[in-house]
Amino acid sequence: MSTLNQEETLYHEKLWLETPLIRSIHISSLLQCNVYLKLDTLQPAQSFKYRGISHFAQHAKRTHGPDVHLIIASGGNAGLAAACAANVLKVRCTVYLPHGVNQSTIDFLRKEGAEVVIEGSYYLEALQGARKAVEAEANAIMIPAYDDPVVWEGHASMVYEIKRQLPDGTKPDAIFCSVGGGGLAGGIMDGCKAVGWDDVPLVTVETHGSNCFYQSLSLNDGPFAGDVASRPVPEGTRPEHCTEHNVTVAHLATLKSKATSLGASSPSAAVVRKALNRKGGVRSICIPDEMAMQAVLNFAEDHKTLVELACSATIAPAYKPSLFSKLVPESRSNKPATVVLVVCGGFKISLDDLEEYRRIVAADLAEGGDWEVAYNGKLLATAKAE
Amino acid sequence: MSASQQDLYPDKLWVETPLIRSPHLSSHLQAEVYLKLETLQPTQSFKYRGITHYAQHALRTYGPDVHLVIASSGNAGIAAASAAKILKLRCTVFLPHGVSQSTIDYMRKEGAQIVIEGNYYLQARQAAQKAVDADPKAVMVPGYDDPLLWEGHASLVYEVQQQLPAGTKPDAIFCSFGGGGLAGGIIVGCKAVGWDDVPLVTVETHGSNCFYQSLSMNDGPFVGDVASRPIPNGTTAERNTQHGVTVAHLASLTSKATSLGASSPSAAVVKMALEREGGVRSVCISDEMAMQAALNFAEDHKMLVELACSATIAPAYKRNVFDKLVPSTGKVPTVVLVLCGGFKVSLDDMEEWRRTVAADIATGGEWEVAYNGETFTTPKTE
Repeated sequence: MSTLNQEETLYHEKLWLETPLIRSIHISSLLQCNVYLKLDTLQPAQSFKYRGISHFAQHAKRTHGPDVHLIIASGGNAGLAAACAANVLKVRCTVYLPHGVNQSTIDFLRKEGAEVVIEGSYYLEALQGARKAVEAEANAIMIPAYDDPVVWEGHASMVYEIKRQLPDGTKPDAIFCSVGGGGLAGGIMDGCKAVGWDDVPLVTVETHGSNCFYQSLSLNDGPFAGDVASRPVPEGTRPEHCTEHNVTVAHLATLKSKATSLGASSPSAAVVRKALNRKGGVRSICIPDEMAMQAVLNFAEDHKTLVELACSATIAPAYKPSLFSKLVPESRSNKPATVVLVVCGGFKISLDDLEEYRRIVAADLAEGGDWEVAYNGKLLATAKAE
Repeated sequence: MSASQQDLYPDKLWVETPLIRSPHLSSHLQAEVYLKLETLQPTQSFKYRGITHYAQHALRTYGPDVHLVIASSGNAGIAAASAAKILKLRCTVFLPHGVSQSTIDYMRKEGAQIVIEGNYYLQARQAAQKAVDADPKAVMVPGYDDPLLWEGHASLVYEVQQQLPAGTKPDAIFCSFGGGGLAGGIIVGCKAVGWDDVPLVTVETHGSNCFYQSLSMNDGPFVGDVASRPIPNGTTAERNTQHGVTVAHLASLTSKATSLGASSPSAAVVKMALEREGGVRSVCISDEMAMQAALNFAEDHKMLVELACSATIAPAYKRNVFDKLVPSTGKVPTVVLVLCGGFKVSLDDMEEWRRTVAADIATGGEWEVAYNGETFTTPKTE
């Protein structure tokens, strides 16, 4: 079956939008490459999550009927995506949030018709509340945050679109995406496999303070330098072997990054396995929060779009030409490389945040020195001002 | 793309931009509010449509040695530079002093030659004209007053028609008006797709309102008769015999929405606006109201837009203004706001506007809105 037929079959009732893939004049000029931005900021609910979550929601309605009650625990973008999807599908949706979530988030969810239950002081407690509700109600289904094949199938749709949107059948030299729990990466990898791009290198970006995927890769034989035994396990991290997928995943005790939308204490084991198996491999990097903040500011000035830190993390390496050429050595050849940055989106960003980031980055730059970027087990120094 | 659109624009360089429904504005107005995101054109404004269309025509007519010349303080220049780069043509942009370095860099990134001359646009325009007169290969790329430009801009209407839910006809289309290029394109496009009767709301700022003032000088949608309408200080009326309309020439522009900055509109577009079935609803707002809209839009939609662009959105953030412009018919209205885009906005601008709006709100009172010859007020906070 041709990929066009495949796409039509999988997604003929899709609720999400085919988002633009725009060539960034600014970043392309900086890197002397063709750099494309996949703008999933423009989805309903303002993030890529709408793909996988609306796909899951449709599937749930088809299998359980219109009385299905969708339940999700989320402090943000997943919850909003669920609420939007449920609104369109005219099914009931309840979002469990921990205390302390912004009133504007609660208002936004309610505007989309979702019921909101505020329970617990942190995410895990809200999740427990959600699970109890699902067990207690026959019609209720839990919407998974990132670890589900139906969700990945929805996210994978973006790869089909990118393939059609790149000019003249170009194959990317690399695709960049953020990793929280691995839902987006899982979808991209599945999508790549489906369209014949299993060999396209995938660069995954996390922040140092929220890097469960990077730490998981470190616990396995794979792209990391040296052997597993020689790689130290950070304090507070507990390795756990998953027999189903035959990988070891990291469980992080605490997340310290301001990029809270990345916030998963452990990644999907299945996605870790996919990353280790795929032909194009995975280039896993971690950057400091400040580098992601600087990218938010640069991207706002260049592309007039506000993105969360979890999203700007993907763009940050593209604003550092020397780092970029290490991550994508293919870009050093005579023919200009083609790179796709998946701009995953997210609504949890404000002008006040940008002001705060400006101050933090300025203070950090004043200290001098370089930023440290981890890459597949090695550390690279990256100039703060470039 | 419909078959007719493909024939009209077979080699188009612009992109079909998204038409997204705004949940924020739709909920605020109890309407279906759609945003046409021209911010996503390759050079970040709608100008890319008409200007690339013009450039391609110039290439076909004059050959690959044609030299594109344009006078612009921003978005038109960027679009021309980018069009020239793709078509492998020479391009020179004449800018007045004071244009931001980031704008100049943008044009240079696209390979244009830059000449900085004069203190304001008109002087740069004169210098550009001199260059065109002296160079047999040079062609002046027009700012807004050319049917080829409107033909390119009109493409957005074809797209909107395909993108709205099947068979939906907007109850109104909103757009900003500088010299009238965008409005001209929208009017031409509407006529082509059977939407000549769709109301067009044009938005300017009080300090840059050559179109509003021009409409005032003609028989048309404005209340009362021409003779009774005062001509503001500094404005001269000029009769354009070719199009049979009177246009206003403004001595100075005082608005911070500098991308609107035309001292007189296209006479042809004024004519088209007066003749069309759907009419024109010409609105002027204060700079502060446009600033507030830019701030709200950034928080809601995570996009930074220039004042010239947020002017279009501003009425949608003020219920009483919107209700006057799109009177209730009993059914839920569908409106399309054309977000014209623009590169000339920065985080520093947003900060400045925040301060300006806060200070203005502190002075109390309401903001004045002019609409087809009448004025009313709208609350500063809502």
